[in-house]
Order: sequence, then structure tokens, then C-alpha cells
Amino acid sequence: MNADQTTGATGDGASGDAVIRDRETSARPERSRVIRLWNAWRHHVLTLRENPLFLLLAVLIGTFSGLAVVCFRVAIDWTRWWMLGSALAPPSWRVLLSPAVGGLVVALLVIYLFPRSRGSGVNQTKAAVYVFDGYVPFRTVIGKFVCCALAIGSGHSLGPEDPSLQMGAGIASLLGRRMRLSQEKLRLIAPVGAAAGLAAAFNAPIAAVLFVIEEVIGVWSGGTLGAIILSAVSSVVVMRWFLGSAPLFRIPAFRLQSPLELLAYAVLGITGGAASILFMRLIAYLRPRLMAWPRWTQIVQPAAAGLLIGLIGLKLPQVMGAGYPYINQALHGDFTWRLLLLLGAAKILATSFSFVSGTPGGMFAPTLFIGAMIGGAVGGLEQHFFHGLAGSEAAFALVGMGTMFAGFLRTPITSVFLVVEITGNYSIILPVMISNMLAYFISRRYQKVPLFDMLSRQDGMMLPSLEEVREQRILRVEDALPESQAVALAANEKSAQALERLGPTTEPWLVVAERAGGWRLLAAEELRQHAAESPELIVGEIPTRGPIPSVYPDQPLEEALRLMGDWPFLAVTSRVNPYRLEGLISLDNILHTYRAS
Amino acid sequence: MGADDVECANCARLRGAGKSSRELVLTVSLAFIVPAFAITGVLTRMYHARQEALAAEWFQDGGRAIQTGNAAQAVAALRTSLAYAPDDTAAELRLAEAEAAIGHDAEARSYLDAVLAADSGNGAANLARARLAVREQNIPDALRYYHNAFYGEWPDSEVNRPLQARLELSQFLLDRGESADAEAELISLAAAAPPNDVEMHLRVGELFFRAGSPRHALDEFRLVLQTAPENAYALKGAGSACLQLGSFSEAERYLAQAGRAAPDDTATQETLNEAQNVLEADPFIRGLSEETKQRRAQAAFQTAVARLHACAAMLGQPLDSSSAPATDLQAADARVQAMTPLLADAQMRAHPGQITDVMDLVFDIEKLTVSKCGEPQGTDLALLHLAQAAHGTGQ
Repeated sequence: MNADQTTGATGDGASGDAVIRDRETSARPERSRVIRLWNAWRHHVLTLRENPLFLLLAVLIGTFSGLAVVCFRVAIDWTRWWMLGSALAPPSWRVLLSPAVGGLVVALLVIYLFPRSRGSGVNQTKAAVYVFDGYVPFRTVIGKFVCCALAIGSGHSLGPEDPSLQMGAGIASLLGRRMRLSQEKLRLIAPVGAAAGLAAAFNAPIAAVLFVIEEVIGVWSGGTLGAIILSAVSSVVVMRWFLGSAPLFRIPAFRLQSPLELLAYAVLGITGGAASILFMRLIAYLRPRLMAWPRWTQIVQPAAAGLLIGLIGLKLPQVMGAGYPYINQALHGDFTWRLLLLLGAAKILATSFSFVSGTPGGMFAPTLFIGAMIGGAVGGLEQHFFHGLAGSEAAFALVGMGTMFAGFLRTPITSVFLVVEITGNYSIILPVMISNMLAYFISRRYQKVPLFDMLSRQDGMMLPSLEEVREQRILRVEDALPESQAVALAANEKSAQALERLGPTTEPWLVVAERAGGWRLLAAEELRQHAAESPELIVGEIPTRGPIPSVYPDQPLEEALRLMGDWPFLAVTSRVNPYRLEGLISLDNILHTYRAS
Repeated sequence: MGADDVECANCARLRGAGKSSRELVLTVSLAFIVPAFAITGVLTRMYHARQEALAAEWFQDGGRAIQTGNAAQAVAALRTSLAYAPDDTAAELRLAEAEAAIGHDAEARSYLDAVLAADSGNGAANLARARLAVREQNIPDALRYYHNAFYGEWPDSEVNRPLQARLELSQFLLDRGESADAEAELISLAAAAPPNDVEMHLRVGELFFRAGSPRHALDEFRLVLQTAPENAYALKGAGSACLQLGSFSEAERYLAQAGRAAPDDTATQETLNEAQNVLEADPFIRGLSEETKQRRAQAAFQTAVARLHACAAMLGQPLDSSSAPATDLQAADARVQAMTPLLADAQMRAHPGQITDVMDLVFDIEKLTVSKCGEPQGTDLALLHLAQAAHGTGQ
């Protein structure tokens, strides 16, 4: 509305102008205050350096991931109530039909709407970090939410944690892109979101942070760690706000009665390792074969898997869905060891069917389920035959969860902290450590390629194997150090004396120790000249180059290579006495060491 | 992931070069938090409401199944209820009860231990755990959990449950033959029970009896009679207690009242007869003439001698021995032989104090025969009561 229109409307030019003036004078301070605030805010945001902005963003990512995970869990349960009913043991017709129908709908959604929601969220997040500059399409987030809620809710034997992890990564990626972060930060944003998603799904921030470091990024970097922790904490706070702070599992009090019990847990470790290998090999065998089938079969594969799961579910409805209530029951010793063993085996089959058929969903919850059942079975069996040696079945079920996690997912540190965190019980840590490490080593010994690496290779991607990275031997400066003793000249030494002390040498360069510490280069030819012309001249007065970079024997060889530049060699000095020369390493020494390794 | 993704290797930067500015994105994101929280809040509220409804529904199903005696169905229903409300202690307790009912003691124990791990002072869980320990014959645990139960926390609506727990413990101790411990528990229980709780005091009185403490039992029954003077059970209990304590007249009074209050109770009638027999046999009742006392003593002597002979015959031990007495019964018979000449009327009249000697022998015979040949009947039983009262061994 302009001034003329207003004037016409009032019918009185003078008074109309006055009204407009009044309105403008009263509105102006308001508008200008808003603009001032906006400008101040813009100024703050624009002048914010990227690191603080990254941390702020981590909190935002955590908050949104937490909200998404809460809604995801609600969606899974609503779907379950709708499709399977509220009973823990649903009616037979629902058990048989629900996963098959759910599988069919999910297959159609995956094929026609959300093709990227297939597969492992962990690998897709790793791909975002290593290949796609932190890019995770937001459509995948929606796809994972809808498809996984439907699949898990309808009874497919999969878990909500892996999708939650990827949803977090997707949300993080979206925010990072919109915030126009640098490429370096964008690459790191997906793990930040992944940690948030996983933390909220497990209600376990420490385990989530450790998992992302162990399996996704592979390194402890100060900058990333802060953001990952902040996002994980934010998401857990949000999740607890809406769903309560109770741990995922409620366990009876546990006490190690005798150190001999640890032997019994060692048996569990061996069994868990064997079960992990079996589970992995089943997936390794079935998945590529099903993927090679004609494309049209992808529509029916999840439905067929659902039907098979339904058939298993008729006898053992516990294997359907994520199975948390049944893990709780196993933790309360509700099942006999025979039933526990049967449930563990059935869950391996059911989860393999669901996963290899391309139904989206995670492996974390099934892994915990299988671990709890096998753990309880081993405990029951040991109690049966060696009554005094083994603790309660429930304690074995608890330790079994971590054991399977360590053996199957191959994240040994996470597996220990996960059990402690999701149960809120610290006293279990000793048996968990023993059992987990045994399962991990057995799994590594007999199944060379870890699960996530195997899956990415089956998908045609060669993502870095963080287990291999962790296992790589780091070459150090001391490995390249020649055996011959290096001789350094003193700066206050006479040139003739120095030459005599050196004796016959073919080295073109010599090292001179500076009085204040550090090392300089002196051309051997120049020393000879000066010694011939003026033998009394001290070495310190001859022109030198330097100071040359120095390294310590325990530093990585890579660091020495970086410092080498154009220098003919680097001084290797002792950490306890920087004035003592341990030796000299040249580029040839370094390259020779790399070749020899 | 495939070729499409590889093409998109630099997508991030391309997409990032959009028109939106950093401050705008941050503002919009921050502003979006509020509606996102609101929507999630509404969703979760609906979700929790549904969970609570399902938990309540399955809990009720479980309760109904327990009432109809279908414990297996109750277990299934209550497990489902717990899946929706894992913090519901009532469901856990009821589930433990159902599990125990179908013999799943280990499962029941596990649930109860979980409740106690979270709330060690939960009275109901401690009581249930104590019962399980009793079934498992784990005495130290049973005692510990019973004590925890009545010192534990109970809802206001169940103020009597701690007392019942103590009552159960007392009974458990009595069953194990630990009467002294049981008596200690009963004394505490009697002090803690409300005076007008007739049922509780009757039960406590009865257990005092079993613990061998008729005096405390009498106190309990008298307390009941203050509230309910016509309570036949309390009258009978008080009468029996008085009988054991040697207050035979009072016993007769209580038992006669009990007989009037419950005329069909034959046991009361028998006890009353017992009390009356005592009163009729007792030569030491005040106000009796010397002649009556003498006659009663003589009659008592005859009864005791007959009992001695019957007992000896039952055991196959002949009483007439030419040599020195070899058995207790023969020794008693020797005393009988020595006493018989002194029982002539003239002798008795000349030595009125002799009644005491006669009765001492009678009491010794009754006590000896009860230890050798079991509980007597009729007048012998009356004489035994008198013996016990005279020697302070009445209970």
C-alpha cells in the first residue's frame, strides 16, 4: 500500500499523511531493532571460525538425530502393534503373513523410491567419509526410516541401530552441506551424525563414540573427537528426554563369586567366536549369490525371507524383530539352556535371511540377541555339568552379548563398553573382557576379512579396512637407522684435528654439533680445504648449512620422510639427551626400509 | 552404492554452493527445533499412553489368569505387560508369583532379585523372596528376607502385611523346631499388632502355644476377649492355657464359656472335662474337708498304681522283683509297696501331712509313666496336670 492509496482511503489528505507518519514512526524502531538483531546474529555467525561452528553444528546434529531416532523407535513399535499385535507371542496367521507382506512392501519401496536404503549404514557412512566428501543423500534418511520401520515392525529379524546411525549421518551431511562447511569438515561430518544416531539408538554415548572411532574413522583426532562426543551426548539427552533414561536392558545384580568362573567365561568366548564365524560365513556365502540373481527377484527376495522367518516364528516367535524384550527375558533366566541354544541358532538363520535378501535394517540388535542366547545356553550347560564353576545363566547371557559383538562386528573396545553401558553394570567388566577378547581373536584367526569390509567388497567398493589399518606395523626412524656409528664434529674443534679424528671418509657431508644444541651440515671437501690452509681454524668458523631437522628414534618413519625435504640426511637424537647424536638417516635409508617392509 | 554414487563424488561441493547463507541455515535449523520437539513430544505422549494402556491390559489379563489358576497363561500375559512397562514392580512381583506357581523358581527368583536390586527395601519382594528361600530350604536367606520384609516398605493399603510376614517367619521357625527364636518373633509381633486385630492375636496365641509359652498365649487370648468376649476360639485358647499353667478353676470357667459359645465343639468339651477331672481329683483345693482330701489322695494313689501296673504290663516289665529294683518302674513299685500300709484311714487321719507324701508319689508315677508309656487319659491325665502344676513344669 502506498501513500496515495492510503490518502484516498481516508479521504482527507492532511490527516492521512499524519496517520502514515505516525505509523511509520512507530513501526520504524521495531523494524530497525529486528534488523539490528539480525545483523548482529549474522555478524556472529559469519565471524565464527569453522572449528567453533563445527562444534555448534555437532550439537544441532545430535539434537536432530536424537529426535529422528525417537520417532524411528516409535514408528517401529507402532508398526509392530499394527502388524503383529501387542502380544509377545502373536497369533500364527500374523506371524506367518506379517514379515512376508512387510518384505514385499519394503522391496517395492527400496527398488522404486529409496534404492540407497539397502545395505549397511556403517559402510555407507564410511563411503561418505572416504569417497563422497561427506555426502549422504537425505532421501536415504527418509528411505531408511520408512523401510526399516516397516521391516523391523513387521517382524524381519533386523535391528534399528544401524539405520539410526545412517540417519544421523544423513542429517549431519545435510546440515554440513547447507552450512557450506569446508571439504575437510564435510568429510568428517557424517561420522559426527553417525555417532549421534547410534548413541540415541543404544542409549549409550560412550559405546557409540568408540564404535565410530573404531569402525568408521579409525583415528583419535582431537578436533573430530570433540564434535563426535558433543553430538552423541546431545542425541542421548534428547532421546532420554522423550523415552526415559532407563538402560536398554534391566539386569539382575551380578557378582563374580570366584575367579574360577573366569574359566567358564573363557569357554563362552570360544563358543562366541565360533558362532561369529558361522554367522559371518553364512552371510558371506548367501549374500553374493542372492545379489547375482535376476533383478526382478529382488522384489520377492525380502518377501520370501519374511515367509521363512514367519515359519521359524511359528515355533519361535522370539526371533522376530529386534528382539529386545526376549534379550531381557534371557537376562532374567527365563529360558532353559536348550531353548536358548535353539533361539541363538534360529536367530542366526532368520537374520541371515533378512539381511541377505536386501531388506534394510541393522545387525547390531540381532548380534546382541544371538550373543545373549548363546551366552545363556553356555552358562546353563556349564551349570548343568560343573555346578560350582559357572555363575548364573543370566550373567552368561549378559557377557554373551558383548562376546558376539566383539566376534561378529569385530569392534573389541566398543564391545566391552557397550555391555557396561547398556546394562548400567560395571561389575561384569572382567568376564566381558576375557570372553570378548577370546571371541575377537578366534574370529580374526579364522575369518580374515571383517564383516563390514566383506560387505563393502561384495558391493564392489574397496573401503579402507580399519582393522587392517590398526594392525599395520608402523615403521619408525630406528628401523631405518644405519648400524654404523655417526660421528659429529664439535664446533670448537680445530679443523686439522677434526679431519684427523674423522679418518678416511667418503661422505660428502659432515655434521657439526652446535654449542646451543642442534646440528649443522659441513661439506667434507670444505673441511679438507680449510684444514690444509689453516689447521688452527676451528670448525665453528667454517661456513655450514643448517640447522638440519632432527628426529627421535621412536618417531614414525613417515614423519622423517616429511621432514627430509632437500636435506641429505636427518639427525637422529636421543630423547633423554638432545646433545647426543644417535645417528643420521638419509632418504636412501628410509626408502630401503619401506621396500624391505 | 554404485556408479551413480561415484559420479557424485564431488556432489557435496556442488550442492553446497546453493543460495542459502550459513546464518540463514543456522537460524532456520534453530527455529525448526521448537516444532520438531513439539511434534516428537506429541508422538511420544501418544506412544507412552498406548504402552501404558497395553501394559495395564496385559497386567489385568495376568491377574485374571492367576485367579483362575492358569499360571502359565498368567506368565505369558505378565511378561507382555512387563515388556511395555519394565519399571512396573507390581507386574514383576505378580510375574514372580506366577512363575513360582508353575515351578519356575529360578525365573521367579531372578525377577525378585531384579526388584530388590533396584529397591532392596521392597517389603512384598522380600516376602516373596523369603517364601522362595523356604521352598528351596535356604534357611539363612529365608530368615534374612523375612526380616527384610517386615522391616521393609509397604504401601499404606497393606499395613498388615509386615505383621503377616513376621507371623509366617514364626511359623517357619516353629516348623523347624526353633521354639525360642519363634517365641522372640511372636513377642515382637504381639506388641506390634493392633489390639483390636482379633484374627492376628488369635493366630499369635495359637503359635505361642506351639512355641510352648502358654502364659503369652493366655495374654493374647485375654486381649482378644477384651474386644470379643464371646469369641469361642479365644475362650477355648484361654482355657487350655490356664489348664497348662495350673489355673484349673479359671480354665474350667473359660472352657465352660467356650462350650456355651460353641456347643458343637467336641474338642472344647473334652478339654473342659479334663479341667473338671483335675478339679475333682485335686486334694489340695482350699476349703476341702480333711476327709475329702484324704479320700481324693487315696483315690489318686489307686489310679496311679493302676497306671503303673498297666504301663509295666505294656512294656513287659514285671514289677514283683525279689532282689533290688532294676528298673524305674520297679523302684516306683517298691515305693508303692512301702506307702500302701500308710494309706489306711486311721493312719491318714493321724498324719494329715501324709497326703503330701502320697501325692508326691502319685505325681512321680504319673510323670514316670508318661515318659515310658505315653499320654494318659481321664483321671491319670488330670493327675499329670496336677503333677506338672505342683512341680512347676506346667507349661
